[in-house]
Amino acid sequence: MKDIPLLEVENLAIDVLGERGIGRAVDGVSFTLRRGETLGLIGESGSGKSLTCLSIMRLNPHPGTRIAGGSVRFEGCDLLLLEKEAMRAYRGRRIAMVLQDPMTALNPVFTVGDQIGEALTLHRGLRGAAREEAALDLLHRLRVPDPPHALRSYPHELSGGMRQRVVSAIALAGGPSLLIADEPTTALDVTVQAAYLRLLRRLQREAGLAVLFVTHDLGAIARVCDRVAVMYGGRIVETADVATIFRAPQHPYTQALLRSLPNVESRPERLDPIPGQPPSVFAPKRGCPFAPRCAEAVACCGTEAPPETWPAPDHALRCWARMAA
Amino acid sequence: MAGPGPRAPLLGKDGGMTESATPVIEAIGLARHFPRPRRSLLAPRPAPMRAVDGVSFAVMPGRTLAIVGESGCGKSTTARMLLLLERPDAGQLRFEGHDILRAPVEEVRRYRTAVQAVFQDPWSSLNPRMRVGQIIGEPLRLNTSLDRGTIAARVAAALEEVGLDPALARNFPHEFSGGQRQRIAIARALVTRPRVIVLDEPVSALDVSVRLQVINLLIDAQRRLGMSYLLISHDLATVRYQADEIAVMYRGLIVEQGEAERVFSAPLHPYTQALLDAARFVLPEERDACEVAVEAEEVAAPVSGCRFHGRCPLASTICRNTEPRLAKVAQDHAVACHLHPPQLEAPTQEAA
Repeated sequence: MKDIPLLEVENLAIDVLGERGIGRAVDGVSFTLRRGETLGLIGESGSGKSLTCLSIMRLNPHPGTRIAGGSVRFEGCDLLLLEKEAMRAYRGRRIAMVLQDPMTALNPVFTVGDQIGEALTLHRGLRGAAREEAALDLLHRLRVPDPPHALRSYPHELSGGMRQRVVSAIALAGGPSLLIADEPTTALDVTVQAAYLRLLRRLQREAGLAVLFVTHDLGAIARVCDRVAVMYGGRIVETADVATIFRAPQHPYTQALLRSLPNVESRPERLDPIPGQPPSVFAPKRGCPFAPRCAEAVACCGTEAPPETWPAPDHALRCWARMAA
Repeated sequence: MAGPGPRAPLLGKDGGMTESATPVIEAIGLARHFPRPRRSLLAPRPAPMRAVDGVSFAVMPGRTLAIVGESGCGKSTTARMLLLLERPDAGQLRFEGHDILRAPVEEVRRYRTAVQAVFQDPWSSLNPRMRVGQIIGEPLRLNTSLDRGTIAARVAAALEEVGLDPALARNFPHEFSGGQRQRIAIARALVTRPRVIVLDEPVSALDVSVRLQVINLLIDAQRRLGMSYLLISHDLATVRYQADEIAVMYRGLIVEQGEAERVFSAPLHPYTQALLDAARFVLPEERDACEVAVEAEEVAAPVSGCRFHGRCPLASTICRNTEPRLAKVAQDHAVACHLHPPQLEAPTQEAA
């Protein structure tokens, strides 16, 4: 089962075409996602995380961005080489997506039942009573209280958390083996967030679903992910299992990010922020993207991109300072 | 303030607390009700939406009061009432002892200068057609009679205070990053040397690695200049880092209020407990063990009793029938929950 990874992204490069020229927003990103595993992709806005997952679905904005290289192999098949029609067989059916804002993801003039039903017809060819039954079953799995009532509701009649569950139900309608969740909890209240993350984890277990969980929220990562890839300035700087990322991170950016995080359980004396600004997409890419803000930068950090090293079998790192140590 | 400092007990008069210092701003029973549209022409007008339903608190000199709660709890409406952007339907807003809602124009003008704001989104709170210098100087131009040279000097000083180069006063907002824009918004708030700054989610629109820079900037400015903050936030970890006092709102009411460290370390109201539990950093190995005590999902607003009883795991008959009043359980801690009856003397009731 673990022989061939479900998803292998290799050396993915994506260009953003803007008024200020061409910027490489994603610069040689590689990661693998095994079946039934949850991989967290964490990064700030502009780090390239959302563009990476849109490109897996081949939904990156066009024109405006273009895939400049690399491969995205899903069960061994490179999605970037597929014809448009062949790609449609993957979207929704094999790979599904949940986006940040559940209000804009739902159509306000159709009922929840219509919208889940549409996905069921499209992906599984269901109609009539069978379709309704499948829709009820989906809502039930997503722990939506009173599914028959929810089915007849319009999106505005539901709370934010319920809407996100409906969006998730639509995503799961095709029975995908990979779910891409791009900031699914950012628009939700904290108590609703916690409940949704718990649900996501349960679903992932029940259905053996692999989840690519994209967020800037370290707390959410800790609640759902098995492994974490840390993105900065279009590159993955560190990948490790979730315990290592929180207990013994190696990359200076991961370390600084964790140090600068206020904790609700104790009042710290004074936290040190990371100085400076995240890099612009259009900034020239030379060396490590974090070098200008890094307290431990050495001479070659600003000039040459660090190669990948493996401090432990499942721990990948790109940092010159750590290589020297 | 990071690090423990002297803390005074600080509740509004409704909480029945004796103050050891005079508050800068005191809200007494502030309420704002929004009318709801009829469903049809002939239908009776539905009861108004009680966004804020009588909240009392005091902003003390040089300290930070945080109002926390989830969307729709009324925390932003409360902030807007304090900024006079929203007219309260009931209650008083006292500034240095005078009720500003019934004060003459001159006094209101003075209040507007003394109370400044930093909003959540620095992309929409700065006029894209104005230069940074004009943006920061505008409160002085509108509310004082200073000449242009003095204003320019004050603008340059304000830019330095927030860690930006004074030469950037000639630039436009679009030339700055999110964190820098929020610094500009802070400079605009600081330039009139206000007594109070209302911070409405000041860092939630910023990149995670930039947030702490802005929070520390606010903390340092407060230490140096001694103004008070009213911080509106849903991010409890940041609130714990920054706040001296905290008020937890739920459905238009304050359900728990008190000295921040006290509330954070020993929350009494089941809603506060649920909020803190949801914001807790759960380590991977303990995440499957963590149980949820409180139903996260919204239930319809109850018609009687405690507004939280539908979600509360500990609700009993009295919770369903009688609305609990905010009453103090210790010198600097008040809670509105039947599980925690008042411990000290009965609260002194303000005449309505």
